[in-house]
Amino acid sequence: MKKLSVFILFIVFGNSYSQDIQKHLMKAFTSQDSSDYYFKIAKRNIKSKADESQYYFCKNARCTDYNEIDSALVYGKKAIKILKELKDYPSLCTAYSNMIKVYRKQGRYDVASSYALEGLTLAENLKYRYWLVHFNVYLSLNYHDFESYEKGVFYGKKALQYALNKKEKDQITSALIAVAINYDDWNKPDSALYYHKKVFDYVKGKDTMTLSSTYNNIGNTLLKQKKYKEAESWILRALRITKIKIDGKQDVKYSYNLATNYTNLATIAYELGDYSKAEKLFEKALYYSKESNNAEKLRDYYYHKSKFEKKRNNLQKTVEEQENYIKLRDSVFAIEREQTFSELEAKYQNEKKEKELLRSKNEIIQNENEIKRKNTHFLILSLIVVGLLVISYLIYRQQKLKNKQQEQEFALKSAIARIETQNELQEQRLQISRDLHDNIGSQLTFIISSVDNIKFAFDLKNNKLDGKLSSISDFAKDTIIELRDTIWAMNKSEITFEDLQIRIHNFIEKAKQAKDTITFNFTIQNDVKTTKLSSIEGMNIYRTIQEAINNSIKYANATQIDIEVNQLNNKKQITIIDNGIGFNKHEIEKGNGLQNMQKRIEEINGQFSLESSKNGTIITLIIKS
Amino acid sequence: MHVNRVSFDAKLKALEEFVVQLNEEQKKQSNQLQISSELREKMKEINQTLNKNIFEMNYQLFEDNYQKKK
Repeated sequence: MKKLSVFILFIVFGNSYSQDIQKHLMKAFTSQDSSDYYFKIAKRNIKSKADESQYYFCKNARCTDYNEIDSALVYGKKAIKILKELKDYPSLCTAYSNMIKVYRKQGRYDVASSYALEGLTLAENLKYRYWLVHFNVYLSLNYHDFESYEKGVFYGKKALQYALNKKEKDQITSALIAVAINYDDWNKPDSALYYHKKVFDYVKGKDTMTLSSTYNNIGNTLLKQKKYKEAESWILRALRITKIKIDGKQDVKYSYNLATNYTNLATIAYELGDYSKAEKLFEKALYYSKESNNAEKLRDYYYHKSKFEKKRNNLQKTVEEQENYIKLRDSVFAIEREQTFSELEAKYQNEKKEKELLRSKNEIIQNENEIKRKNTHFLILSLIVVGLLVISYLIYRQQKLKNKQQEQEFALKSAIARIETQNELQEQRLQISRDLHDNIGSQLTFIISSVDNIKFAFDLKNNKLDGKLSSISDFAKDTIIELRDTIWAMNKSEITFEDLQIRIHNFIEKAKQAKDTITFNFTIQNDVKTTKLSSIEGMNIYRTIQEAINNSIKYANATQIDIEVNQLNNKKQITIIDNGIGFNKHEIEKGNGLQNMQKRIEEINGQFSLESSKNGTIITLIIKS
Repeated sequence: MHVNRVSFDAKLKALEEFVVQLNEEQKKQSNQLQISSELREKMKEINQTLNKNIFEMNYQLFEDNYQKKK
């Protein structure tokens, strides 16, 4: 414990306290003889609340170690008050520990336990693992000394659990001893021995004082099992270790341990019937019990002494020792103390339960928040996934549409390219045709002029030859006219009825030259004039009208020919009427002329009809456009 | 996407109109070619008739010359 206190002091001095007071307090704490002197110097150097707290803290530690119980209590209380204000929790835990030690010596386990519970609460809140073991061990020991062994075992095992987690050998040993002595006095020697012997796994001869306690405890358990000789050998081993002085100094628990050893040895002696030996040992036990200033030790002494006196029938002494024992026991087990003890325990447990409840509530709230957060994350993630799917689908659809559009565009462009190629080819063919026709026209003109020159230059007496030449010339002239008409149609992509009218008028004028007795009338309804016809339609209509007029002039002896073009619903009606002699359709076979006319009109999806009587002929053409 | 579709439709419409126009042009050219083809047939007939007339005229000339030499 001395080592522990020095260790704590070093921690304390690591903080920001005045350098002077630190130096003096260190000297005061470690000095054997000049402690009071250094403490006085330190007191004069107090400059702050922190310095003051450390002064009282060190005073308390020193007095605790040197069994100055009343002073230890006074300084401890002052130190605790200031340390709480300064929130110096590590020092506060040490101060609590010292106060527990002092109150335990006094046998005031209720107060000791109240400090232990305060310390435990602090250690639990701040998660000080070292102090968690330490305060649980003290609680276990307090309950042991207060003869509540079940609770003692409970806190001992709790301490052991924390110590095993921390893997701190000293603390494991303390916890094992606490559990073992509780089992021992609870009359469970097997469990007690099990935990006693477990100590050897962690000590192995290094910490002799710990082994001294353990040897004594094992001896104590064996004593209760009435294995006196075996118990005696264990306790004697403990006694030998206890008597060893380290660096010429006695251990702080020197008197306490000797009191325990001698009480046990005295008990073994009288149980074995060696009363004189027992008497001597009890004397030593009383001396060290008083020296240890420990109520528990003194109580044990009186208990065993009274039993010893009873065994050797010294009734007066028995009663005296019994009274001493009861007096001391009553002081320890006063009803108020028992009540306080229970209240403290209940308070601690309630606070702990409330804390656990609060922690559970917080955990539930945290879990709920976590679930909410996860749900939100899941929802957001789902929305993102759905969004991505929608975007992917849209991109896919867009791409598909684009491909389809490209295919359509490509198909159209291909069609255009194909048609353009065809058009170019047709245009070339047309150009060749035009050139050819132009050549034919010039050749025919050459023939006509040659024939006319022959006729003019030579005085031809042969009428037959003259007729032949005239026939060739006329034929060539007719051919040129026909050729011109055709080239006219070929050069026009569209022909209106107005164009047709001009062309037919030209033709009629020539016809009039040949036969001036005929009267021609050509009327076109105004609406129809601008109607457009394709070149083939225009050509076929022109040729049909031309053929009809030729027939009227050549065969019908007509004097009046009327040509009318009218709109008839959506169709165009062309009528060619003459007042000639007509002909019988049934008697006269259709010649090439009539057949050609019908064929030409049907070719352009039109209707051809012919009516003939003695009063003339009517040809009707109906053209859809 | 809608803008893209509208743009494509406009492009397609223009192309379709162009195809229609080309088709009409082709149709006109076909008509003109048909006329040309008919004229070719007619020219064959005219050629035959003219050949026949020239032959007959030559024949008549031979006959006349032969009579004169006699």
